Order: sequence, then C-alpha cells, then structure tokens
Amino acid sequence: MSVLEVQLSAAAAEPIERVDFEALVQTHQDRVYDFCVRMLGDREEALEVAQEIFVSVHQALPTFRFDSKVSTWIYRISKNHCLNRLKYLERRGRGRSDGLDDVPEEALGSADGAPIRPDDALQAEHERAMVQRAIARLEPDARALVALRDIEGLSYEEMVEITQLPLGTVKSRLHRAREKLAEFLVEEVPEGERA
Amino acid sequence: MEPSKSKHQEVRSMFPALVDDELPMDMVANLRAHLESCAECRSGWARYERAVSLVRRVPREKPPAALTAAILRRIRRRKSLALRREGTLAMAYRVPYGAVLPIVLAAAVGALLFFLLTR
Repeated sequence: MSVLEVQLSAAAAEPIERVDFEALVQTHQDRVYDFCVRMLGDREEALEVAQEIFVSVHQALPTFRFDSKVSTWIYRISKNHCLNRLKYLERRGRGRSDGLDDVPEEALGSADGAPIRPDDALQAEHERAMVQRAIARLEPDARALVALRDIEGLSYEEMVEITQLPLGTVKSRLHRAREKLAEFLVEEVPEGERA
Repeated sequence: MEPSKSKHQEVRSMFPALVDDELPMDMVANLRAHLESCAECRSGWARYERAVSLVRRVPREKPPAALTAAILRRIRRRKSLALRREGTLAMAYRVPYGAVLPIVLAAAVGALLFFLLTR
C-alpha cells in the first residue's frame, strides 16, 4: 500500500475534504492521461475525459472500500469513461481536433533532457504515430487490454480487476488483440519493404 | 515431415507467455527449437514480438501542466453548483414564518371570538 493509500485509508471514515485530493490527482494524472490518449487517439479528447474521470473519482471516493489498489480502481473508472466516450463519439460521427499525427514538443527531446539526434527523434516519432494508428484500429475493448498491459505495464491480476473478466479471458483476448496489432503494424510497412 | 496445423496453433498460444518471460526454461528451449525449424511459426513470432516491443517502447504522453488545476477547478465548480442548487431548493420550500405567524394568530383569535360569541 502506498503512502497515499495509507493516508486515504485512514481518512476513509472522515469527510472527503480531509483527503488530499490534489496529491491523488498529481500521483495518477500522468497515467490516466496517457491511457486516455491511447484509448481515444486524440489529446484534446483525452484532456477532457481525464478531467471527467477525476470528477468521478472525487464523487466515488467516499464509497471506495479499499478492496483493490487506488490505481486499479482509477484505471477501472478511466476505462469505463473512455469506452463511453468512444461510443458517444461514434454516435455523433467522430471529429478529431488534435490528432496524434502531430509531433508533441516533448517528442523532440529525450527523457533525460539531453539533446537527441534529429534522425532518432524522427524515427521515434514515426514509430509512435505508426503504433498509435494500429492501436486505433483495434476494437475499444481490445485497445484497453493492450494499453493496460503493454503501455501501462499492469499485471494480469490488476487487469482482471479493471475489466472484471476471468484471467483466462483477459489472456486470450489480449493475445488476439496483439495478433491483430501485429497484422496492422505489418500493413503500416510499405509492401516492398516487408520482411 | 511438416508440423501439423495444431502444432502451429499450440506454438502460437505460447507467444504471450514467451513475450512476457513466463515460460519455464525447458519449454522455452523446446519452443525456440521449433521456431528454428518452422518458418511459419518463426515469422508469426517475429511479427508478434515486434508488435509487442514497439507498443512497449512507445513514449508516454505527458499531460499539460495545467491539468491538476483544471481538475480541481472543475470539482470546486461542481461543489458550488450543488450548494447553489441546495440553496435554491431550500428557498423554494422555506416557510415565511414572519408573514404566516400573524395570519395564523389572527385566525386563531377570530375562531375563538366566533366560538365565544355564538355559544
């Protein structure tokens, strides 16, 4: 249990105002936002949905029973919000505002702040865009599994809690999703350059 | 002899455990030996492993610095809206005692007088 979870657990019986919600947001917002970007394929949508997710977390916090990790619980809320948003966007004919084909400023610098060679930056950006396009072609549920396991790095046990699916189902659906993804990634490579 | 279709499927079903390093050493050795000898499974594994490693090394998306403030602002706005709604409800159902009390008293005195005079 993290320090924050201990703090939250101790405060569970107290009014919600006593919980350091700002610290909770700061601890989890990066992962929530990243997950939303993978799911929605659009930074502006992800920003909007990330805010809605934390509003839901704030509302539901008094009922959280600490029978799972806070992060797992937040991912479950995030997954549900993203799936609902995708359904909504599909109903009204999705319009992307800030697609992921744009290069974010951070992509042009390395993680440790050291300058990186333009060729490397371009290659990394090309790969990122290619992966995101392939992920976007997966069904939303499959997309969530790939994002949770291979991007967010969660364990199968956590995925079971988030998806509320049996372990075997999670594993087999993830396997199918990865196979689909592999197909889509092959299609991303021009025909003459395929191995 | 060509490996059977079910052998290919069996091998493919082990790709997730292989990519996650969850297979025992002896099974890994068997699987690697099969991959060496079977072009179909080898190319399937190469595609599968490439896909997973590409996804795993994709850089994380960082949220804008203002996200925390935006979330907290939204929660404060929701709270104040809820309070305002509660206030409006209370106003709608509030009894105006200042106006009602003299009327009730006057009606009671009137009723008493009427009762006494008509006895």
